[in-house]
Amino acid sequence: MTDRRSDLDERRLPQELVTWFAGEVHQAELDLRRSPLRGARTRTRVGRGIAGPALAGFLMVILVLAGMSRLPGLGDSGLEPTGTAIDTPSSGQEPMDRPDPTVFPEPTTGLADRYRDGIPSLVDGQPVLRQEPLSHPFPVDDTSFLVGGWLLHVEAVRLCLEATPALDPCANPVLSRTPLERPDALSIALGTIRLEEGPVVLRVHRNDPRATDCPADLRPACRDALAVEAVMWTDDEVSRTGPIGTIHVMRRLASLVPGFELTPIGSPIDPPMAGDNPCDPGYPVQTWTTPGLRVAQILVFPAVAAREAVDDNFTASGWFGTRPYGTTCGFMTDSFSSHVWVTGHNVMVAVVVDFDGGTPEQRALVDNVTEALSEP
Amino acid sequence: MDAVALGAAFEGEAPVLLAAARAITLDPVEAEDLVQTTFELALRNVHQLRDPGSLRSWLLTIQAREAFRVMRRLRRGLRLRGGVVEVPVAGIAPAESLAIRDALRGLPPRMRAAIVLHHMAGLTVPQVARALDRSENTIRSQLRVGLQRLREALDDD
Repeated sequence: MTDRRSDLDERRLPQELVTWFAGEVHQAELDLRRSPLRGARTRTRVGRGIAGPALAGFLMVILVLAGMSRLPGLGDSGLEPTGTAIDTPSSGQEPMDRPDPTVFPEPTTGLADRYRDGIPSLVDGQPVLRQEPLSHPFPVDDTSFLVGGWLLHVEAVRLCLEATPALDPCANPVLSRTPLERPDALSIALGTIRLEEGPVVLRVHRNDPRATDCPADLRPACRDALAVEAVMWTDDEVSRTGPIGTIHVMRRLASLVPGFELTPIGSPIDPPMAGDNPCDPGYPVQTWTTPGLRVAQILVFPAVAAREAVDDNFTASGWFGTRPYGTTCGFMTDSFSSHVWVTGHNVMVAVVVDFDGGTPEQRALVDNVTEALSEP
Repeated sequence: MDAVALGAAFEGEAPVLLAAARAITLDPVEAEDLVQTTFELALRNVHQLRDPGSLRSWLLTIQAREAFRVMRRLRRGLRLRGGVVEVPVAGIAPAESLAIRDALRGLPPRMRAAIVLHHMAGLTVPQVARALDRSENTIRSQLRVGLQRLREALDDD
């Protein structure tokens, strides 16, 4: 080889590189031809009566949709949103649930005024702030504001025994930015208000005067606690899921996947990806992903029927169509990544599996997720 | 070009994109993610593609930029995985193929990307400069030095 290499002059080496790259392209072509087929066949179904064509590479669909929403004429069409196209075609015009007479949310219509996870971004004409880096910062004084998030009862042992009960920064529940507890979850002081776990919008303030009752070392935390004045919104038909609720899905997966974290697909403060186009595959508002390479996609549908509708309508080759106002839209159901889709009840989870059939760990994770989703 | 046409055209360009992504990242899994992300970004910005004839260079530009965004993330320690996968290459013996890959590995990432984009994927120097956010002179210099280093590395074999 040394002799051959010794004449790698100015022209020879680039030529070698071109030849080498041609081989790489050829290999890539073979890999791509092989992987979508494998992806389309590696499908696990759980539960009874679930039928439909293969749904491989839904990630690509989501990515396509994420892109479509930003295309001219798609995201800014000016048309009135109609809510999810899954099972509530007219839900956008219906008043939301009012689970408690003491809760006074304004009817939140459609998906126009929602964050990506279905939590309203506007209630009663007032913006709902989120604990997101890109969101508006929370007021630093004692001004009232609306905050949205996921109310969670945490299991961790927390000790703030000397704090004033009214503003205990260790109290349950907490307000998390995702349907899974995070270390940066916000302390909230609900007082006498009792709330179930789930997405909420609360009117709150910081720097409550009662913080002065806290011991000096806890006083900063007490000042930071969100003192709740009113519940403005709770779970509704857009965000509600079942029979497996979003929070329960995430907890089950978190128990199976080391380092499990959640992020919405796309920017969390973007509106949901569901729209009004005829190509809408009916992805749910509760669409999440995780960092790392174990779980690529988590879709939690409002109901089993909604999940089945999506499941049944996918084709192996994808969906392409034209919106009423002439803009084309398209979805591919194959991707370049290899996933195994595990389906159970109202949930679909894409578990990452290597092209070669997966490592023992990946296959075990598929089995465990399958089992986790088989229980209501 | 609209999204549907892009979807169809992307299929034809995907092997080149994946090969380039593998050569730049030297990580097969990261490369697949990169191609997928490139498609997403391309769809978002399809209206910016004025000349369908320049689709490949446009996609490679998007991919190269995204690659360095990903590399920055990797350097922050989110995850860092390496490993060389032996890939049978038509026209070159496996040992020599690996030698080229190893030689590429010895280059700084941006220099490697410049070599891949220009000498392998066929982008012009101005296109590479735009893709890597560097001046044309810098790219010319990186190409010259990069080839020299590759030559030395391959001669050492």
